[in-house]
Amino acid sequence: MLRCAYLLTLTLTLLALVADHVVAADPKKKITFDDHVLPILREKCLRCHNADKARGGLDLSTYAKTMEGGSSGAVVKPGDADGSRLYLLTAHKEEPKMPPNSPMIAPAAVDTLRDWIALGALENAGSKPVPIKPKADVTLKSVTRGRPQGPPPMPETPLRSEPIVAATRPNAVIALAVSPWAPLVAIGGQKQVTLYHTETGQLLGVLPFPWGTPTVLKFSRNGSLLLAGGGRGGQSGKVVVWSVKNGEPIIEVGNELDAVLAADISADQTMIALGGPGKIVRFYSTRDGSLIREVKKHTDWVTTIEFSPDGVLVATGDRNGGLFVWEAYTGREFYTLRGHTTFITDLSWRDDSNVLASSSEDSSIRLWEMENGSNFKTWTAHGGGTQSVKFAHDGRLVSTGRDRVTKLWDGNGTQQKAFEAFADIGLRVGITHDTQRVLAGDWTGQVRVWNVADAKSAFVLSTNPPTLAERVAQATQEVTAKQAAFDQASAAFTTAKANADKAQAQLAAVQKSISDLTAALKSANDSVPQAKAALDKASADLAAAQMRVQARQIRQTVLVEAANKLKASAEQAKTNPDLAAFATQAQQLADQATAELAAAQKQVSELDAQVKTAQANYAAAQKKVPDTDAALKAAMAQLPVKQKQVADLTAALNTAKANLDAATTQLNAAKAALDKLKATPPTAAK
Amino acid sequence: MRWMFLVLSSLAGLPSLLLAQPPATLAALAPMTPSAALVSFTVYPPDINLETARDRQSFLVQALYADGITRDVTEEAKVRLANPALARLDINVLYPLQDGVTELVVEFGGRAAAVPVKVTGAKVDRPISFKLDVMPVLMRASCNTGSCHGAARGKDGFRLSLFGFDPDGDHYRLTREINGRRINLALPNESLLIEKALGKVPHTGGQRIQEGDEHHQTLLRWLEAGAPNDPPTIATPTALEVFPKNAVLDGKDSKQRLVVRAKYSDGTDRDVTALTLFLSNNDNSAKISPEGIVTADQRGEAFVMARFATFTVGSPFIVLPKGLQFRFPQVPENNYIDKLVHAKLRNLRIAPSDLCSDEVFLRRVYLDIVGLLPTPEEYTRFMDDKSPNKREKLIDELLGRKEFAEMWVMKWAELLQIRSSDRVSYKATLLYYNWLQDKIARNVPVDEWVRELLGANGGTFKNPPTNYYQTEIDILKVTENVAQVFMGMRIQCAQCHNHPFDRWTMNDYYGFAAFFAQIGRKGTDDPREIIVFNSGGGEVRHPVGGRVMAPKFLGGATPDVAGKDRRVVLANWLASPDNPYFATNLANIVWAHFFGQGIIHEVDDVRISNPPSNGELLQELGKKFTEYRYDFKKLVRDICTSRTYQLSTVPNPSNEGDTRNFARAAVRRIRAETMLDVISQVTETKNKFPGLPLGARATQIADGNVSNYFLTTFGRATRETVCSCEVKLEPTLSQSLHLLNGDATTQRIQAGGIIAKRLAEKKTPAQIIEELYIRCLSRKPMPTELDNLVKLATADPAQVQRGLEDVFWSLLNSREFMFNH
Repeated sequence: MLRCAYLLTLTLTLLALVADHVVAADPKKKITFDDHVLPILREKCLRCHNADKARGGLDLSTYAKTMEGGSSGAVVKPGDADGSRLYLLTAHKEEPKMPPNSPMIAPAAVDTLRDWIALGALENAGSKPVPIKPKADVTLKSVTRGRPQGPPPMPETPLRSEPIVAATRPNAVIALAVSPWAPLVAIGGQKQVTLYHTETGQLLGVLPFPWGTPTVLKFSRNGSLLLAGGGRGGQSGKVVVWSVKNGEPIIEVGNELDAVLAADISADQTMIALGGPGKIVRFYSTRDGSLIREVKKHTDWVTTIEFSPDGVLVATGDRNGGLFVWEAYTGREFYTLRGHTTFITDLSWRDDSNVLASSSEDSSIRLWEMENGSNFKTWTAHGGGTQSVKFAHDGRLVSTGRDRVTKLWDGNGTQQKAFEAFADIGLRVGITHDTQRVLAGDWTGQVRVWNVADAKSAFVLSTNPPTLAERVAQATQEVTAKQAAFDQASAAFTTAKANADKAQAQLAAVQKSISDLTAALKSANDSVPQAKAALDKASADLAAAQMRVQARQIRQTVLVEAANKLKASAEQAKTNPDLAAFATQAQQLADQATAELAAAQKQVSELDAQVKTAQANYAAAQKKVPDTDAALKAAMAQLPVKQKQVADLTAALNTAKANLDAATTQLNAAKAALDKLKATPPTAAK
Repeated sequence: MRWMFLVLSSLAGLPSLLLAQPPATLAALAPMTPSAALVSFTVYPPDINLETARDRQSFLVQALYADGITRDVTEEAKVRLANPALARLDINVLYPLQDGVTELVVEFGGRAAAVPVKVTGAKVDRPISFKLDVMPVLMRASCNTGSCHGAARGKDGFRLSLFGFDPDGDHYRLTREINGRRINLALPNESLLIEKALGKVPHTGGQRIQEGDEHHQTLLRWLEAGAPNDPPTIATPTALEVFPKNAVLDGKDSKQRLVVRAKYSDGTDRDVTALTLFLSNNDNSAKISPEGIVTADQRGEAFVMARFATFTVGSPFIVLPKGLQFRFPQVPENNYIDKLVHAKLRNLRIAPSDLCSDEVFLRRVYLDIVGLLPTPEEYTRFMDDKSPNKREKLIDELLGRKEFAEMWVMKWAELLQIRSSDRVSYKATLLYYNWLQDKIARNVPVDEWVRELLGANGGTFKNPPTNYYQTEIDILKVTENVAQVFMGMRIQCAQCHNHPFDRWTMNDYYGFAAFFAQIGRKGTDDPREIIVFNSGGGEVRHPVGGRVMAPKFLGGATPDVAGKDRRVVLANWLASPDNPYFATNLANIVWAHFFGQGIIHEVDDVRISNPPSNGELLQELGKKFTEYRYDFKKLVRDICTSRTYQLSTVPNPSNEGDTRNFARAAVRRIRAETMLDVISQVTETKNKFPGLPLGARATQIADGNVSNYFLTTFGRATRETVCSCEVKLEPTLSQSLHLLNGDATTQRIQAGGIIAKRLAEKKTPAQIIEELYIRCLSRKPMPTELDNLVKLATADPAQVQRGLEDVFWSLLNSREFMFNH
């Protein structure tokens, strides 16, 4: 008893909390089935809806049976009075009005029913309300044409990175969607959808699709939602809508008995249309997942559905070539587009909603205008069958098909580009928001991304992303590779640096020798006149000395003669002392002259040697000039070589440096990526 | 086969002798041990080839006992390999281990036999093949039958070619028609193909294969390999062998397994027992399980068939009551026919009925050979003839009558559809009929005039057999008609898909049709006459792929037709012993005329799955017919002089359940023309048919388009098609009403005035009644009949004539009159 009371208190507290949080109703009031609802039902409804009669399969006599519902399904959706038939029919908001053929029951009783449901449809005073799943409201107030405000919707929180299924080989690419405004592509795989960045090819994450194989992917017109339809062939079909930003599933609709083959979400995001082998197109409300209407016009499998960008129309195609356009809000038939002879494979609206492109297994692409519903353009796009067609924002089209070639067309069906053929038939196609890249997937499971400008392949994506462990291994390998590259770059840099330094030194040496030689040349040049002057002076001196020798020779000769004559005279006149004195004097003079002559002669020979030296000096000086000049010239010639060498080696050095820097960056990036991968939880962060 | 019969006939007396042993002890010791002694045992297949690591071969051991019973003793026999290193033996299946040659030694009942075993490529796996591995699974699982995905528009959005006539198309539809739906290469086991076949998801056809079994593995292996198609050089199956070749099962619940082996164009073979679709044409007697095990049930015969790829091959099974005691009666054998019929009957433990009385024989042989009843004079002459060979003499006499020729002109006119129409004028029809009549009347050998007919060129007036190509101008229809009339085959199926119950493929069909691709036709001055000539141009294309088909004989060679008239080439082959079907088919048609049903029934439904009830007999008849240079008068003589033809319709206890083995004569309604003729004959009234003089017989009507109410009511062939079903013998209310109230009886009795004449001749009512009996029933009334009728006719002395006319009317309305018995 005590325990009960405790539980009750706890329950009440919880209830208050939950109720506060979940429903904006009076938290104090507690309406229960046993206390408040059953009396009303007993009075008004149980005559038919009892355990014995159970009209319409509905028995309202007990809480359990009431919640079970009748043959048309649940009649009470806790928390959602406006979605509960029990309320809607008794409040005469829907047919058949209940009780039948009677006036509405007392408004107070109706309100009680409504409130009871709204407050969680409790059984008795001890019941806890089931937490009500908040309804997704993705409805837009208005449809924006063209690029939406704000940054392009990209995944912001980390998505699950571990693939749900890692198969040994990929299956054909049967679902592919390119975001209309972001560099983002979604590719259907096995029980999952993979998101890649269209500019880097980076795997952004994996969205689980537990119902089987996604067969159709569509971004909402503003790019903020991603829709996937699919299922298990022959068994069940489902459509799910995720928020692109955080990868959270927002809406699930559909309860098909075979895989969904076609689906789309309307531009204002209020409706989801889907179809498949059941031949019926079903429209669901995104608000509460309820079925809005069924279109049973198709005579074969519904293969493609697309809402117009303005949200007014919706086009649907089938396996037999049937193609219809409907008013999206009323479901009225707008046009029957007759022309294709078989299997409509894809539909795409031009941005202005005035033109619809359809592709078919009959090989053609047809363009239909919405003024009169006429087929104003038809061309054979892919022999054997066109598999997919998409309008780009600029009004061009991309398509792929059984001829394995992906093509880009202008708005008139003139081929502008053909991209490299696949190994097998092309199945799905897309073009990025900036029309810079075309993506297409083929039967072998390969998705190729081409640059529109040069039709070159940018990279290849897979429907079958590797597991985290594989990616870590890959990243580790990458780090090792980058490390090796870095090491190599580093070694190259060192070598380059050494080479550059050496070259620099050599250049400096050359430069020095040039300046030396220049100086030498100058001095050589300068020394030539000096040597000449010295030579001249020496020559002059020599000449003077020679003149002196001549003079002294003459004087000496004269004096010697005179002396000799005097001597002789003196001898002859020995007595003549004067004469002898004279003779002696003369002899002395002659000797003096001879000595002088000898001195002069010696001087001449000395001077002659000097002249010779000067001459040699002059010759040497003269010779030194061209030599130095040649050396200088040689040095000068070497200068640009060395300079170029230096420049080259410096450039090499710079390259090596750049390489090293790049390698460093890459290594760091790889390391970072590896660290990130290692740190990534296999499932989403949340 | 014949050998076995000989053995059997020589041992016919043995079972009863052996039964003298104390059966109780035997039964207690070994309940399965048959009472008769073991004669021999056979190991099937006669040689075992194991190629590649994945191959295997099952075998069976069949024992033959002195009483003709066979038993499956595979599990009782002692089996070993001479060199056990080469293959692994698992009960009755050999798996390769190592390359080499050895022997499988089998010992049973004190005897031994050896079967050569050759192992090659034991370490090499063979790659999965779509055509050789996957297609047979689809066939075995009945995916591609007409009621399922083989339907022209497929089933539930998915189509396969009917019985797999277009494997490349099937590959396309499985892998690429609706991309991503039917197969899933990433998760092969989750492919729709697999999930549907395993019944894992709702499938209208339910579960077709068991999870984890061999077929499942095959499909998976193919998907895991990337669902490849085969290179164009892939081997094709060239033959199918079914073992054992025959079996005689002893009593309810005895079993016999089947082993089926396919041979391929690359010289290899495979055990395809697990890929074969088994059928029994008589589940009541021999039921066959999908695994190929026959279980005996009620006494009877069954033809057990194995279908694989384009082949259907069968083995005859006989089921006898357990421990049946039977002694074949000592009956004379007039000729080879009796010998062969009795051989079969002995096998079946059936005794033929007694010989019919002279009166019955007289009536039967008149109706069958000349299409008339014996006149009272003829009756008396025959009955009074005391010579022992009077039946033969009568047959020879009747064969010489012109009515015999007329009968066969009529029958051939039906097959050749001699009938005026928009394309064939009345004049042409008459000329055509006269041409045929001339051939038959002069007893021109059949092959001769068939050659003339099929190779005919010229104006439809100047050379009447050219009308054959005017009666039907559609190439494919002509092809089908020729096959149906002259070879007894309905190859129509193969126009759109491989024949499900026979060996004919679309290749055979269009190859045969190519013979008729170059028929030229042009007009003449007379708008009624057309000239048929060899145009020398025109080809037939295969509908799958559109390739030009070279003319190929049905089941025969591809002749050189360059510069020749293709129809002449065909005619020379068709009406020759090279064509294995021509003589037997004609013999079968003749046989059917005298027995009410062919040895192959219907006569124009020759196919593997509709085997002859007595193949040896049919072959012998064909052989004799060829030896007789296609003189079918001689064949008729053989048939009519046989004891088998002269049997009574009264069954004995052993043959009352049998209708197919000619152990007794069949009660047959008289066909329309003969009926009208005999009514006219017995009432002595005359008929007037357009274009014929008053008093002409209905048999003589040239134009299939000419008829009258009586003939139409009684099912005269309209000759609109070549089908043997054109002649209708089923009773209808209008027939009864017409005989009761119509002008065929009462008015003719009046008009003929026989009663009045006889009364005028002062014949007594008893005498008149006796004459009426002889006229109508070829017999004298029994005393009680006579007494009652005389009383009745003379009840009112003033109205004796009327009373006698009523007797006459009653006779004409009696069953005995309407039937040939």
